[in-house]
Amino acid sequence: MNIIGVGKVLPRKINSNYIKNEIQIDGIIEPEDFDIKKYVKYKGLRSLTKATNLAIASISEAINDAGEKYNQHSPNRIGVFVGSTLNPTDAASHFMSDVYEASADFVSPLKFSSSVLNNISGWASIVYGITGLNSTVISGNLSGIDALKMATSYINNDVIDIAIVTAVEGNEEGSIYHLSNNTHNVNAITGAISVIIEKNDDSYATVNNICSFQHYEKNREKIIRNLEQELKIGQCNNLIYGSVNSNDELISDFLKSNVADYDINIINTSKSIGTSNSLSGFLKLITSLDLEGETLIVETNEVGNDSIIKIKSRNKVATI
Amino acid sequence: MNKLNRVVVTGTGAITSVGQNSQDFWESCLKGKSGISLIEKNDLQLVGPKYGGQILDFDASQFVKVNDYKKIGRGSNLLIASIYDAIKNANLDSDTYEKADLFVGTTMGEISIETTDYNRYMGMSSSENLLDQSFLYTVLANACREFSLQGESMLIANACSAGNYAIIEGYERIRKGEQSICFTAGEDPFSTIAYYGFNRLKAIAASKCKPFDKNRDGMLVAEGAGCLVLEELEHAKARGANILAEVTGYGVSCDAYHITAPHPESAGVIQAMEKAIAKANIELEDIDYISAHGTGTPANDKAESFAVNNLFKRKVPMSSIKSMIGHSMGAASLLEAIVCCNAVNQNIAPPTINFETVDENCEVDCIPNEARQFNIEYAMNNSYAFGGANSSVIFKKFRNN
Repeated sequence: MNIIGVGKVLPRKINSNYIKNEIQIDGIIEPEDFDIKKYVKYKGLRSLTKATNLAIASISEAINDAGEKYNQHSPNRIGVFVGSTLNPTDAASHFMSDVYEASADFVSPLKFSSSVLNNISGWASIVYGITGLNSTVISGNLSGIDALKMATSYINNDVIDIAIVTAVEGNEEGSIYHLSNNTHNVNAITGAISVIIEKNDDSYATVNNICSFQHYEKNREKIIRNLEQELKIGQCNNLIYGSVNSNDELISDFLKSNVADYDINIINTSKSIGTSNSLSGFLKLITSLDLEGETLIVETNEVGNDSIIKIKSRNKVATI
Repeated sequence: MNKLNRVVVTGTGAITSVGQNSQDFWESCLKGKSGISLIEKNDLQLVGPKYGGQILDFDASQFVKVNDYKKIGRGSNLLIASIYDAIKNANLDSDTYEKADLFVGTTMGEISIETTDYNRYMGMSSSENLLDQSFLYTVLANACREFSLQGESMLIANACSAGNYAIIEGYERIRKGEQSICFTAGEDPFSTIAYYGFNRLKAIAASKCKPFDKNRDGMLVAEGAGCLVLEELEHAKARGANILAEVTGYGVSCDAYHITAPHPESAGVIQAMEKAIAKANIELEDIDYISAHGTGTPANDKAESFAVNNLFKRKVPMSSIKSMIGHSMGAASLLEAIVCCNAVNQNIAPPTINFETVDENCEVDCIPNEARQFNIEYAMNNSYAFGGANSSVIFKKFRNN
């Protein structure tokens, strides 16, 4: 599957050099002066959540980037897939605050619909007239990658021809409370990244493989076994990892002990990406587009599902 | 193209207000038993009085063995209980099921732990100890831990049609030979947000859910969990599994019309059914029974009946179990899929209860009030959701050849 369009709404300093150089982010950094009206003219968008607008804006960028390769498709052969993590908790908090503190009978119904987990993909399909399907995946750090995997599957199974895949984090009050658990400062990036994928060869990069699996507290070494297996194949030029959880240390220790065995450029994103949840995998993904050759991306959750994906960049443009 | 595998259903699990295992759930559906009760929880008294499909006597300690049931959310407990039921009914040993993928559909995940903590809002003791469980995907991690699952897992948050989308993921993994066995599930605990949200949308019925009835006045919020064990046919046969039904196709679409209201001409709903029939490689006349989305709201039932009548040009028998158990959100289409599997397996369809008066604008054969025995070769499970996410999945009576 090939990436034919990229759109992003991120803080200005978040670029490939920033990520490749492993520069530490400090606090929660936001896209500067974000205004949805600069991207899309559609009535009522400003009343939606920040995450919804960030996603819609990044999709606009991706569609413009893909140009005719996107526009030639019929709406019923296009799908939109969103990887999201904490975004609905913000709207849900606002809705329930109004219910408890004001009136259950007069709370805004829009706040309710914004709290439903597939609100962002629903709005994206409405704004861009996409009738193939819309779908939402919530898998922590894996959200973007899982959405990409799902989209790939629907294209391969001939349900659609082309897919928009978006990862987004709004990081509003409820999310931040959740991220920090009120105990420590959080380093995270707010924003959205969209990619458009199809089978077309004229592309930025090819997503060669997505290997997904499960680990628990007691069998984290499974991540290493799978990584080792991929490294032994020996085709990769780059490895990007770092998900701000216990798995990072495990991977770092493995690489320190075995780095001499592999001729590979290693990037640890835990400082430069922070706790960016669904964006975590997609920030790695767009960094890989700017690297020479094939890149292995390892994305993990503290407990739960993990993925190792293989991206072959064609270095057509520096995307970030 | 490589030969595609056949995908069969070898086990079902259900936790609902009318039965806390798949067998009781199905028998209650056939009897037309209602699981609707008056809502008495403190944090749900700001409107009302209202009714819903609560599982009042659910005791998680009877089901959950590996996780501490007190330290995980109700959604996780319901889901885990339904998977245990499915494992038992599919007669799976741990060596077999630990290799399975897990795809779970949900509307709200465990979001209610954090955002509907009534006590926290009222300055009383809170559920802080559960806060780390309110990350929306913890329901998935808890289930994987409970069953030591080693395969892929995914939480699909496509609101009220999420269960069908979970089935589709599992179906494709097996059909393409990427997996031999998958758990496809749906869950939602009773959602305070959904309860107050649907109340605000004026979509909640006064006391009874009456799908397709002229005097229908809305849906009833409910909770539950359901699970299907999907297996590759030869894998199932090799272990001597009891095969309930075969999954033969699906269709999906989206309305791109309104975030909460159905498309007035049901374009997306029709498209999903047409795609499902094409994918199953059958004709319109082959569909014998439809498990309707059938929420009981005036707009939804009108749109669905319009779509079915216009597409099929005949009155396809079509019932809604939401009349009995309410709308269990992410679990709904999974539980309705169990109905389809049993319907093709036993040639009987459950009724739509509370039906009294025909609506000339919504005229369907809704199998009113009593189950009906007839030959059911193919059953279609229709499910629609917020964001215009439409889905139809087709189940076929299993035949070896």
